[in-house]
Amino acid sequence: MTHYDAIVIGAGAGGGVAAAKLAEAGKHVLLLERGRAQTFQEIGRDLLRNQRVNAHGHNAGPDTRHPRVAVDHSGEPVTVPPWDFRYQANAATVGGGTRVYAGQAWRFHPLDFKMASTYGVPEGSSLADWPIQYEDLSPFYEKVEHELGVSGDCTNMQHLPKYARNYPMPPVPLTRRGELMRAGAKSLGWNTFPVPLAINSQPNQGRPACPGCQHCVGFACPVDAKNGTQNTFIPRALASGKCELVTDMMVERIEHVAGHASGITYFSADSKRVRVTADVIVVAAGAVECARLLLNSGLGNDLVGRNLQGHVYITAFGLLADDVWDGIGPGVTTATTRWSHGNPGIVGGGLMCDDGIILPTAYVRWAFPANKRRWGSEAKNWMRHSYRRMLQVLGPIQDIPSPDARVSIDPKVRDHWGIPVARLSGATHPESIKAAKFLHSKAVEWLKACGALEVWGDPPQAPYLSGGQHQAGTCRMGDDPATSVVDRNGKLHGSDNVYLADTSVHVTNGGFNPFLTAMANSYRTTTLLIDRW
Amino acid sequence: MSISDPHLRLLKVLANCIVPPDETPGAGDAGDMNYVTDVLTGDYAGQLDAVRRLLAALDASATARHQRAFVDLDREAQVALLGAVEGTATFQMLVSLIQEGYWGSAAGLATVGFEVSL
Repeated sequence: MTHYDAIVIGAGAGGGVAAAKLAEAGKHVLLLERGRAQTFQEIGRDLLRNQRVNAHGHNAGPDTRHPRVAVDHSGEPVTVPPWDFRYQANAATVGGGTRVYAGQAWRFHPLDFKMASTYGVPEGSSLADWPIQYEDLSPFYEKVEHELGVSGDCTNMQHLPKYARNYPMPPVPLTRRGELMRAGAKSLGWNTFPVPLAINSQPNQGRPACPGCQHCVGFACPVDAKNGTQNTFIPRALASGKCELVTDMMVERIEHVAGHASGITYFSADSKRVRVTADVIVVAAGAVECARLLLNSGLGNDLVGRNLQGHVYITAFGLLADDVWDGIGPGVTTATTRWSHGNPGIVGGGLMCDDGIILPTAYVRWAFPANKRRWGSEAKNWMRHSYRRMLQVLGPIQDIPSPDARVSIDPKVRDHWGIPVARLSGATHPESIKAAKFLHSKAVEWLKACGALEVWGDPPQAPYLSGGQHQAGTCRMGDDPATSVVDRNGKLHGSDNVYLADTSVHVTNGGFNPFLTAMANSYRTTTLLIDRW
Repeated sequence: MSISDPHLRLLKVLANCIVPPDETPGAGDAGDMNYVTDVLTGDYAGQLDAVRRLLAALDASATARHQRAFVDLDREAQVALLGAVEGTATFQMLVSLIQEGYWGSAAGLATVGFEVSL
């Protein structure tokens, strides 16, 4: 049996960073990933089955060996495939979601770390402050921005303290749509700035600049100009000669005695049970699977799996008089944080920005106005007329957590290997929906200021379970074991050698895409772990 | 679980009502019918009987009103008959699948002007 210094479970945003830091510190690391390393060709360009348009299939896993159970509004459990929206899927491949993401590389707002002390705790919510603050993560945000490779310009990010160093690359090209969005915001007196992206705007780390293709979010990059852990941190870990990557496998459980982990068992690609031991276990399998693994292993306290959160999203569309398509990808160029905090009567808020080039398959699914007939010549003509004349505003709204939004273990359903699967239930707190409605009204205002003749799209009306690609919160960090699962340094309460290093530990998930925070906190967790080793 | 050739023919005719041909092809001629049939025999296999009933109902109403099969009517007559089923969940589901399959096809991309550079 092989013994490692550390086993890292999950080769996504958090796990990739953890593996690199540990291996480069000389630790012998086993990095485990249930998916495979996929090439650009393997991920493909199927416009109907990708990580963005995925009602009936996707391109970067998980596959059907990994079912989950969702509890619907009637309380009935339903076994759902990985592309069902109730599954709350994120990619399962080397790099995790970062292999196919949009790459919006946001730091959280300083107030995102102190939501309870800023707003109070709404009744029925588990809103809480983080035990660490923006200042604790700031140096690690900077390290990740430079080691991952982020394009942007911090000079007009008025919502954040001054950066020590600007991003390593200038912003990606501005589009015609972006120009209009900036002009519209300016007429309203709203500050805007380029969206920071983990995409090369110039050659970087031996890989080329973004060629501006039209299939970014949901797909792999044809020239490898999109930076995820699969082409940055994980290759570094492997190049150290101290990290072994095993893919196409499934972890069964963490073996432990009284909280001290001795190792794990997993099923290999040929479904053989393998036992490996280690001094330290780092779990970074995503908020759903982290909770599932801890629960199946009998590790952690009663809070494991609670407070599942992601983001409540708003989107609105506006129709302009003229064709504004220029086809320049990725297309995400312009954001405002004017409404991230300080909104009257609202808990939190969120960023708003333009989106990447929207696929026609996504446009017909998400953007078709509710008041128009969805078939016939009129529908076709509406698609033809509006697609290139359209502006979109999109935004992740701060999810106000509920303890009832949770991951538990389904008592009946098991996966391909016989491991009990995750059961997902509950919904976000109603304050999230209230915030989304407010932000949506601001999105409409922005589009009208851009000259939209017609604006459409509705905000969410009722609480729903939010997780998906931004899933977080199921093993929240805190100083008090009565109200948290891990301590401020990511160590599981009640254990001396099990750490969590992904979005699972987020107390709240900010009003921003969360991967940069997951990477920065994984960087911090593993740095502190190495320092104390 | 499969879709018979006559039903596939009827589905293609229906698809051309949902996204009709004009200066660009319609969904029955150019849309991704594999996507439609894959979902109907996969994720939505539980609804396949309802789809078959809807197709049979279209043929029955075509025969009753025009003494011809649905596929043999002109599009105007076909569209008129769809009014009776438009409000059903099965029809709406088919509209979604056919629309998605069309706007992911080369004809759909050309229709909206989605130009691919790389």
